[in-house]
Amino acid sequence: MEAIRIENLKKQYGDQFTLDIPSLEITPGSLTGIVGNNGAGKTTWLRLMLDLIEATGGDIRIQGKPVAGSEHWKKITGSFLDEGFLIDFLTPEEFFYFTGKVYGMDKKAVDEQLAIFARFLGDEINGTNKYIRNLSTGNKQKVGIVAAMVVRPELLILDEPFNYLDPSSQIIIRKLLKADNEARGTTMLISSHNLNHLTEICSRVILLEKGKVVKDLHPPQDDLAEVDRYFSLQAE
Amino acid sequence: MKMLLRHTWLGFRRSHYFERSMGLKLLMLIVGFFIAGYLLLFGLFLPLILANVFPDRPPHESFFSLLWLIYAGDLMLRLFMQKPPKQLVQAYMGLPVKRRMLARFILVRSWFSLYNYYLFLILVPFYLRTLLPISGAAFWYALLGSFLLAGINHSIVMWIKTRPGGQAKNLLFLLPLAAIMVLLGALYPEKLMDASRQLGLAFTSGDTLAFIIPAAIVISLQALTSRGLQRAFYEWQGEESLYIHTGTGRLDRFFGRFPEYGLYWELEWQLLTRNRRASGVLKQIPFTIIGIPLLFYFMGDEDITTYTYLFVLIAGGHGFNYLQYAYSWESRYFDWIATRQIDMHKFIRAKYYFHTGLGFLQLLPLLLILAFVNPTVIWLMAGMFFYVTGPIFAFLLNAGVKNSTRIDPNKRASFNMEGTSGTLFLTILVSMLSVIAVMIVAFFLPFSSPVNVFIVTTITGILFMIFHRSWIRTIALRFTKQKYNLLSKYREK
Repeated sequence: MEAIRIENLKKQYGDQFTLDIPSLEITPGSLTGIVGNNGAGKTTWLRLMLDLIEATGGDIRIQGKPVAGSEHWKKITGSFLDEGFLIDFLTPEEFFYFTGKVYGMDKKAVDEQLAIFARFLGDEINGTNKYIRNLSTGNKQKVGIVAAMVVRPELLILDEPFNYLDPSSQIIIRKLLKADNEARGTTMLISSHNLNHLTEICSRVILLEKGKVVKDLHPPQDDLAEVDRYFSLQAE
Repeated sequence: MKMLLRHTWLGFRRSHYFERSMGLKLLMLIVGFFIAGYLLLFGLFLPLILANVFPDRPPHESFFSLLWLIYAGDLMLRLFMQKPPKQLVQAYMGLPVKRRMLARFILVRSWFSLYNYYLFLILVPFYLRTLLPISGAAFWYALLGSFLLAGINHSIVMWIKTRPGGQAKNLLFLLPLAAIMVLLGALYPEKLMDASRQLGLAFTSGDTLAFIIPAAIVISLQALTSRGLQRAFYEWQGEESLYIHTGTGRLDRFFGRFPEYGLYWELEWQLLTRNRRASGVLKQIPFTIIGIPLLFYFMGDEDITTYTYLFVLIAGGHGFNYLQYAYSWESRYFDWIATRQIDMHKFIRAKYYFHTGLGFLQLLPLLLILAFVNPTVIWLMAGMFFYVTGPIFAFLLNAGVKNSTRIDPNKRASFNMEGTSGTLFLTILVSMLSVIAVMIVAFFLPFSSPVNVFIVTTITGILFMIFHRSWIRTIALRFTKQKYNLLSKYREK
C-alpha cells in the first residue's frame, strides 16, 4: 500500500487555486522533495497533509486512511513547518522530552535519539538554559527538526528545513535525513526552495508551480538539471 | 516624535481590535457611556450623601477628609490594572532614534491612560455643585490639585511597572509603604482625615506649596521612570536576560507524575509560570489572599450580597482571569497540538481540573483569614467558589472557542489593543451579569440574604461539577468542529 495517496486535491482561496493535484502517490520509504517558487503551493500542500487547513475538494490518505478530520496518522507522523510547531516557553530539552512523552517514549528512549542529533544541535542548544522563544531563528529551526525526528516517525514532513541553518548544519541535517531514510525506511516529504539540497538526498522531486505539479522526477533515471533549466527559464 | 506618534496611530488603527464586529464595539461603547453616566450621577448626588452623613461640615470638607482613602484605593486599582502603554521598542533601537526620546514618548503616551481621568467624572460634577458657588478659582484649583494627586499615583505606577527587573520584585518596594499607610489609618484615622482635609482646603485656597510639592514629586518620579525605561531598553535587548533559571523543576515534575492528566498539568503549570502575562496574574494570588479580607474588614456588617459581583472576580481565583483567554495561551503553538495525538476532551478536562484546584488552593487560606475578619462572608465566598468554578468556568471554556486573541507570551499587558476583543468583553460582561439571575432565584427562597445566595450558588456550582464531563465533551466537539477556523486565526497571517 502507498504511504500517501492524493486524489483530486484542491485548495482554493477566492477564485484562485492555490493547489490542484489530480492524483499522486508516494511510496513507503521514499524521500520526496517538493520544489517550487514562492506561492507555488508547497506549504499549503504540507498543511493539508497535516490537516491544519481544509481542502476545497479531494482527499489525502495516509496508509489508506483519510487524513481530514481523523487522528490515526498523528501516531506515525513527525512534522515541523514553522514556529507554530514549537512550544516556545519550554527549553529545547523539555520540549524534546515532552514531545517524546506524547508519542509514548520515556526519557531514556528520547536521550538515545537525542545523542544522534548532538552534533546538529550543537553547544548553543544542548544544555543551554534558554526558552525556545529566546533562541535564534536558526536554532529554533534545529529544535523543530529534531523534535519531529526524535520520535522516530514513519512519516516525516518538513517545510524548508534548510532555511536559516548555517552551512555546516545544512550538510549535517542532509546526512541525518538520508541516514534515517535508509536505516529505518522513513517516508519523508520535504519542501525547499533550494534544489541543491534536495538533489543530493531525494529519490523523487516534485516541481510545483501555481499549485500544479509540473514535473515529477525520479533521479537518477531523470535528469534533475531539467528542474534547474525550468527555474532559469522562469527567471528570464 | 511625529514619526512615533504616526506609528502609534497606525498600530492602533491596524490592530486586531478594529477587525472585530461593529455590534460588539457598539455594545462596549454603550457600557462605557453607562459607567460614565453612573459616575457623573454619583458625583452630582455626592454632596447630598455627604451632607446627610456628616451634617456638621460642608460636603466638600467631608470629601477632602476622604481624599487619602480615595487616592489610596486609586493607587491599589492602578497597581493591579493600569498597564504601561504598549510600545514597539526593538524596531527603533537600530534607527537614529534617541533612547531618551523613546522613553519620553512612552511617558507622554502613558498620561492618556483612562485611569488618570475616570475620577474626574465624579469630581467635576461634585466640585461644580460644592465649590463653584463659593468661587470659580476654588473650583479650578481643586481640579488642578486632584489632577496632581492622580499624577502622583500615575507616576508611582509607571515607575514601578517600567523599572528594569521583575514587576513583582518592584511591587515589594511598595509593601512597607502600604503597611505604614494601613497602620497610620488604623491608629490615627482622625489625624489622617484631618491632614487630608487640610490638603484639600489648601488646594481650594490656591496655596502655592500645596501644588509645588505634588508637582515636584510627579516630576521626580517621571525623571526616574525615564531613566529606568532607558535602562530597561538595554535589558530587553540584552542577551543575558534571555538566560533563565529553570530551577529544580520539582513542581513541574510533581504535576507530570499524575496519571492520565500529568502530561497536560505539567505543561499547564509551565505555561502559567513562564508566560509573563499568565504569571503576572498568578502572582496576584498572595495579594488577593491578604487584600480581600482587608476589604471585607472595612466593609463591616453591610449587606454583603450587594457585592456579590465582586465574588465572581475573586472566588474562582486565578482561573477567572486566566480562562477568559482559554486556548489563546496556546495560540502560538496550536499547530503543534493539532498535529499531535492530543485528545481535546482530555485536554480541556485537564485544564478545568487544574484551575478548579488552583482556585481551591487560593480559597482555603482566604476562608481561614475571613473566619477571623468577617465570618459572615465565609459561606458566601464558598458558595461563589462553586458557582465560579462551575457555570462560569464552563461559560469561559465555551466562549474561548470563539476567542481569536493570539497571545504573545513575552507581553505583560492584558487589557490592551492586542488583548481586548469583543468576545472577551462580552464574556466578562455576561459572567458578571449572571449574578443578577442568581440574585433573582435567591430572592424567592425562604431564607435570609446570604444563606439563600449560598444555596443557589452552591447547588448550581456542584451540578456543573458533577456533569462536567458532559459539557466539556460538548465544548471539545465544538472546538474540533471549528478547528480549521481557529487554527487560521492563531496562525500568522
